[in-house]
Amino acid sequence: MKVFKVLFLAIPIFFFTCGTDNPGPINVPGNHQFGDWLIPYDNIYDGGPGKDGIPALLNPKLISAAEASYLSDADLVIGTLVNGEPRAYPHIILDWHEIINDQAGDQVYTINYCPLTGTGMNWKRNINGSINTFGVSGLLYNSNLILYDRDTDSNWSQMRAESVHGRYIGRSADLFPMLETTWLTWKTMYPETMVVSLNTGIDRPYGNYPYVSNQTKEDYREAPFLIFPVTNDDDRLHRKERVLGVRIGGEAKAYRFNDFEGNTIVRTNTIGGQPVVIIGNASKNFMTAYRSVLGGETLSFSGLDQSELPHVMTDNRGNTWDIFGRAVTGPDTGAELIVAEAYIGYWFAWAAFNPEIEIIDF
Amino acid sequence: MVYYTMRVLILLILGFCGVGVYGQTCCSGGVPMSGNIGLPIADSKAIQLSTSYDLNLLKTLKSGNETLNDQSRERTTQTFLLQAGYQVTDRLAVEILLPYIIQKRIISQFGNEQITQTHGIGDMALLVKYAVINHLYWTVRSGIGLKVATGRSDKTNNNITLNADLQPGSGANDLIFWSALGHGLALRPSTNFHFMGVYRLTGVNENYLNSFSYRFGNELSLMAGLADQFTIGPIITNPSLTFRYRHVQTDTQNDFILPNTGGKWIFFRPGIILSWWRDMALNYYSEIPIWTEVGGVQLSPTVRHNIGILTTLKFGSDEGF
Repeated sequence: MKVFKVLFLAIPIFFFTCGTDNPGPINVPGNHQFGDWLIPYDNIYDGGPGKDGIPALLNPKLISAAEASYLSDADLVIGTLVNGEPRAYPHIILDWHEIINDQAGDQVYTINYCPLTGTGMNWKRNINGSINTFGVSGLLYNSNLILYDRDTDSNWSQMRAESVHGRYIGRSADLFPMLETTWLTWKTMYPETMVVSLNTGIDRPYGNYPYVSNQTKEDYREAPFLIFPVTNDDDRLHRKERVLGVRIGGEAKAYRFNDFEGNTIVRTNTIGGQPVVIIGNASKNFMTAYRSVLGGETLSFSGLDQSELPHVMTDNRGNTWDIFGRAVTGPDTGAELIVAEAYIGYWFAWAAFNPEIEIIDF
Repeated sequence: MVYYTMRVLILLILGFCGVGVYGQTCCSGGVPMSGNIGLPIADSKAIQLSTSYDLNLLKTLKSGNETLNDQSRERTTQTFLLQAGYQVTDRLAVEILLPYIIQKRIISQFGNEQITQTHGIGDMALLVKYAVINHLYWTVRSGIGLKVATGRSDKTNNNITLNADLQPGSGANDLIFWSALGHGLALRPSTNFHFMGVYRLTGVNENYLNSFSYRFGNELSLMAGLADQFTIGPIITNPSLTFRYRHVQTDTQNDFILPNTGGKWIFFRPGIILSWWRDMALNYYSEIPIWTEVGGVQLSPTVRHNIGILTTLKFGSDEGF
């Protein structure tokens, strides 16, 4: 009889432990409840490594350009000029960490880069007067990085540049200008640049790209396949073509390198009703954009020869502007153009986040 | 009959008591099948029942064949396996394997510990085996089977779908080819050479993340080793030393090869079987990787433990518990 009693006890225990796979609601600070997402969580995926499984860096060791022998000229970097200090954040490192929390003078910022969408941005880390650090949430939306801030555990969609979940839900990221280009272009423009050292304190095979098949050598950066689904798959261009996307007032446009062949070329366009200047040079491997209004006046620009880099254009008021949208000579010296939400990314990603995106052919 | 009930009860309790702890698999999509399938040969008409607990701990971060100095990530798969076999004739046998899997991912980084856990019934496996040679000193058996997608492959954590290797099931039906060879050594009849090969030809999960097709890589497992038998007091003891080679091909998604999947391993696998009673045995083995080469960067097995009980029920005979 005891035998059967034990048996009847064991069976409910078995089914009880099978009954649930959710440990409970996410602990969301503030008034938001579990389920408050600005993006449909049906389209959010667990990337595999888990929260902080891809370790973000904090104040990494920096070395001079001459010491950065691990970089080849064609390697892509994200260049910044925060506090007037040129720094380079190589894709070789960002591929393995995705987020670098850094500081230049009293300016704090986070370089965030998603290898799956090829998108890099520079966000200010001052939020509501406190200095935040960001980490990799391990979640993806439209195959794109979702960051989290360590102060409130809010989740931030990189390509929406806003918090999509948590206490900061709906808050936009404040942007610093940045430039994605090759190491050669960057160090030629800014020979005094500092660059992140491979001595990150974390053991990774930095020379190896993490998203290439060791069997077929098929490289994610070039092959058409995706690892995670997207909500809008647009086949107007090759999925992995690198385009400059610019988004203002809900309108997005995509610019292609083949419109910037031969030299530094400056083009103007209107996005979301705002005049914008797009600056690009295919051989130097960069494109960027700013709003072209200064003091209420819409400026008109002319490109400078590429030998003048980092100076890229002059305007009708007699100013010369550098690649970071700063007037370096002329009557408005010291003025800065308004940073547009503009960055290079794979076509599929820009189209996934902006189904109505227009491809501009000049 | 009471004896049989008690024996089954012991198996059930051992199977259930561990449920609710935790688990993980790598590159295999659920069941740690290749190391567990293939019950030993039994007398005709006998029923074999086995329950086992399998813990696969992965905390070695590998890049190719190099070990990275990073202990921040840990994955475990705990599997509770119920296995039943029926010896139809002296040569023909069938068996079924039903796993319950608990997957756990732990990230210890920046002073925090992040834990993600799933559990559920895994993919069931069926195997039909035939003894091609059934000699006193030689046994050669071959089998063919199916791994059926009974396990869920759409488990979520906080409503967010988890990736394939955290799912208890693979969402795909696989073909299994199995063979085993046993040879008693002439010099020492109690010593036995054993070999087992398992090849799993994987199927495709056509509804991965609701939109992709996903296929885990085909898996080959080859084991060879020696076992001996002696008694310690009333206990019949069978220690064994086995080497296992495992090769998992890369996973594919929509026919594209996924980076950071697939690999080759050689494991050292010491084990022991203890029999206090006739037809009932306690077995244990561990697996320690001695050579690893993974595709890209992956968490790789660090150690594996498996403990189980096997009992044989001979209906129609007068042999008891």
